[in-house]
Amino acid sequence: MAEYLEKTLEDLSDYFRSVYFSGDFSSRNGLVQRANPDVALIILISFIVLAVTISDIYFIAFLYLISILFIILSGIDMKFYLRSIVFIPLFTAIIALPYIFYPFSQPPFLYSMDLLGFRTGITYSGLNFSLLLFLRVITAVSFMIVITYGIGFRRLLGAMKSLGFPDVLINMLSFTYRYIFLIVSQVHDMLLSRKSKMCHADRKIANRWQSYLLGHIFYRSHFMGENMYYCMVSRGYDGGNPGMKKRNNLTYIDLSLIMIFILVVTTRVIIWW
Amino acid sequence: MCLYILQDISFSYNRIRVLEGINLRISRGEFIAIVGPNGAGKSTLLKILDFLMPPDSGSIYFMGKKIDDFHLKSLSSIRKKVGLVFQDPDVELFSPTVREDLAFGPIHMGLEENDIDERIRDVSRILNIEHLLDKPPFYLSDGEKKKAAIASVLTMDPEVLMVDEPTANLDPRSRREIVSILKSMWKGGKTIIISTHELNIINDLVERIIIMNSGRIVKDGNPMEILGDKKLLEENNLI
Ligand SMILES: Nc1ncnc2c1ncn2[C@@H]1O[C@H](COP(=O)(O)OP(=O)(O)OP(=O)(O)O)[C@@H](O)[C@H]1O
Ligand SMILES: [Mg+2]
Repeated sequence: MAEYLEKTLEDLSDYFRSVYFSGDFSSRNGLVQRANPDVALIILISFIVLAVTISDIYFIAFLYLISILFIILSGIDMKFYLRSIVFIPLFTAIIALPYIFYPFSQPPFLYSMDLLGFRTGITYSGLNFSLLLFLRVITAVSFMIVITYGIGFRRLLGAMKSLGFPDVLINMLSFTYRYIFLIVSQVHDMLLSRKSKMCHADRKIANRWQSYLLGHIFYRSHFMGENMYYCMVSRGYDGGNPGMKKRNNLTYIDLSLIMIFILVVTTRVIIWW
Repeated sequence: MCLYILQDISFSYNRIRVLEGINLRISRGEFIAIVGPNGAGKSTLLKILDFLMPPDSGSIYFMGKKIDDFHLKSLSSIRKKVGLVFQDPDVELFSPTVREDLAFGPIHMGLEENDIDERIRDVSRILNIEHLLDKPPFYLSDGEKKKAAIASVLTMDPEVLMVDEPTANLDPRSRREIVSILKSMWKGGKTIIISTHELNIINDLVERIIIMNSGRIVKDGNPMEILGDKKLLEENNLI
């Protein structure tokens, strides 16, 4: 059990290291990076809203392609993208899977069989539903990746501020984000130093100390959090979130973002008619 | 002109006294080193001088004004004038990239994006960390972290610069670089306060040394007088 705990912590911190820390594309010279962050945020969120409100598989698949386009145009590394997204569709697929049989025993069936006298199987509507769920999630996550890594965290908070998101929400987000970086690296170093100290020790003796580990992490995170807070205060943090004073005029890039969105919406409307 | 006046300051963490009866006057343009054994209270004193924690008792004046309102908003104009580099660079660097950490202070000072970028460029050139700007602080070596932490305060261009252990973890060349940066900032009219264990770097750097031990100021004088007193240094774990 204790070993399992330690292994999990180690895996977790490694996972965060590889995914979280390698992903800063906000200083690249891509489409989203060069756009006005307010505009980019509004447009990207609108795409997400479209994806979760409209129940048309082809349209959502189309939106997904657009998110991929954004990812490419923003210079976000494909390998990085795949790595950060791989778990989410997997989980969604597992959740969505049972729905392919829904509504149970109501034709039309794509594939059916007799089960204890009932006729049941994969239904068209069930398949449609699970596919929809799956596509929605993966599309929304893709756009989220463009938001966090393309706009970049610093400018994202600024944009949220100027769009009137509540301060509490922005503060929570920024603290969580900053804090995760810190604590993950600390936990990682702690595990390494423990490892080096117990190199040849009897596993049983070493296990005695395992129970301290979690407590220590909690204590440590409290202590670090306090110091980090002081450090932010020292550098001028006063509870508010000054967005960066930024240009307010729109450039052709902002306009082209807006145009892409309008184009997508009108296409959808025309086809729907 | 007196920048700081501390009168009989005491401070405790969870009811454990760590600063006791601190009396101190600091003038504008001074270069001060605070030295003393581990746990003497040097870092705590620096945090008090940055108004991060209110003292338990005693009064503190900054630029002739008594500071007794420790609310974040009331102190924000003072914070622009005072910068503190923490001892542990890991708490100083909490952003996804070094660049964003360097921007944190200036953003909170309300500077324009172009202005911020310029400051980041200048400071990172001076400190030789241009190649680290887009890395996560997490990937830096300890010495690189220290430099980035110092840079994250230098971008605020504070009038009073306090650095807790400026040369810890640095290689000899970086050490010389940091020392010469501190020196040139001091020559440029800033007030510099550092805490350190390294007597050899402060020898020909500072003009005033404060020895602390067990939360008290043991001795406050010029380097000649203090560094010549072997017995005093030995009593305070300094040699
Ligand atoms: N957050 C805290 N909570 C409780 N006690 C603390 C805290 N920070 C420091 N102390 C205690 O206060 C005392 C003074 O600590 P401080 O960090 O100021 O010493 P220092 O002179 O900077 O030492 P060093 O040379 O090791 O950096 C120490 O005894 C320490 O244990
Ligand atoms: Mg200290």
